[in-house]
Amino acid sequence: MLPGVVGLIQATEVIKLILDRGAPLIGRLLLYDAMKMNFKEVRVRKDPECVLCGDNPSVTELIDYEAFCDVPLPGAEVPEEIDEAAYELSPQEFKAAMDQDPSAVLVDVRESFEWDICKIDGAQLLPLSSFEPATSGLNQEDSIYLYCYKGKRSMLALKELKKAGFKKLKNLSGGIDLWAEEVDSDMPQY
Amino acid sequence: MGVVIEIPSALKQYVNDQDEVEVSGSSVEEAIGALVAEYTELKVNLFDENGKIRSFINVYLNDDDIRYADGLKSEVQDGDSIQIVPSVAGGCSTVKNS
Amino acid sequence: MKLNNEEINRYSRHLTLPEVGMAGQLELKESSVLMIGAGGLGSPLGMYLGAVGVGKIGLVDFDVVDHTNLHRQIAHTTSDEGRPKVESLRDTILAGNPNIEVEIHNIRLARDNVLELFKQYDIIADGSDNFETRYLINDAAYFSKKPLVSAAIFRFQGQITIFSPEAGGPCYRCLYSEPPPASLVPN
Repeated sequence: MLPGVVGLIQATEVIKLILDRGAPLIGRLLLYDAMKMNFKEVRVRKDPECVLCGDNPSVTELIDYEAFCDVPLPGAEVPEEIDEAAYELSPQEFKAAMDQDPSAVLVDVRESFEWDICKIDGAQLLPLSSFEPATSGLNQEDSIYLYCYKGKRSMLALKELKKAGFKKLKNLSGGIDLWAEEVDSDMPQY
Repeated sequence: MGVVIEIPSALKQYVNDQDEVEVSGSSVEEAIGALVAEYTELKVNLFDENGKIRSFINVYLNDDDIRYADGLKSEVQDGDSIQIVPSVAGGCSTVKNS
Repeated sequence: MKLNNEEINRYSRHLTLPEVGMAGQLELKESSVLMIGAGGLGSPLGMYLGAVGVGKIGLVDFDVVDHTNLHRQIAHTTSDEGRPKVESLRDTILAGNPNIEVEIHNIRLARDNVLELFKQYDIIADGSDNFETRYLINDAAYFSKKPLVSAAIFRFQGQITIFSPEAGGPCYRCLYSEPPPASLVPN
């Protein structure tokens, strides 16, 4: 319902601009919080040093926005480059490998709100947001089968485990979303 | 009574899901310093490596941008409110698509 | 430009408002708005702009309606699943008011098409869902000298403002000179 309220405020401002009536939200940023149910307004100003509309602009034509927005987190570790394909299993392969593997440990690295929607039987939840190989309780002797929603986050967890010395690692390609399509048709998708 | 710092939902996860945190200090820098001292994970999200507020976050003291006052040195008094407002880009999506 | 009798009847509660009146209603009819995003924000925005009689509405989106959109993107209904969002939203707007024109642009907004598109409209309304597009729209609106009515949401919080350096206000870059690092972008 939040986008409804915000979209209607946006519509109101468009109409006011067209009619040239009232006080438009120029120089003001309106903040709406649905949980607190309050509106706040802060003053926003033109920055004389703005690279676009400031006194000495350096952006004088459209730029490469994909490159502009690809900002690395300073100090963040770049995940190790590994041959990802060597660890990826399709949902059927993943299930077959787990079923035959007595040392299989199934790990879900999604967040708890996703876990509450659906999960694969026998999995344990270790959210990526707080994932640490050392404190995960996982054992290097075991085969670790990882999954998330689409397969990207579990690959990040896999890389951390590999770095920590784990060798028997598998990733569910396409995540639980593809699992729901190809292995368990009763599982809801979100 | 101290200074209330309002936390946006994008950063709430770093402060035990609180909407606001009350701290004490005589400048914005001290107030936010007290906040990140208590919630250390917040620091990298608010400050760059030179100790400046990150360029996708604005800090408002009583509804005005501190960049147009004395920046982090802006004085605060008990009862003031500091609002942290990050850049958000959502039009609708909510689920992590990964 | 004049209103026909059906339009006079339709907009009569506007025509009797001193803030709008016949002159205002004609201004609405003569105006054009380009909306980027036909999803959560675009649904109510487009439906209201259409209902009040904005003469020309442009819709930009390249996505199709998904089942998971339906609970909040209220212009799309269950039977629209799989259709381009711009088509679905256009049909909803025109069902509400057939007197207006809705132009659909089933494309990804990009450097090579944005300026040509902005030229054809008076006002730009941003309801997009990523930073690349937001900076692109901001810069293009500035170069085109068009006011940009911007709205963004995250979870239960929304931000709305108008970027109009022409009118003395800031642009998006004045507020945020850089986007967040990809790893800090809250989804």
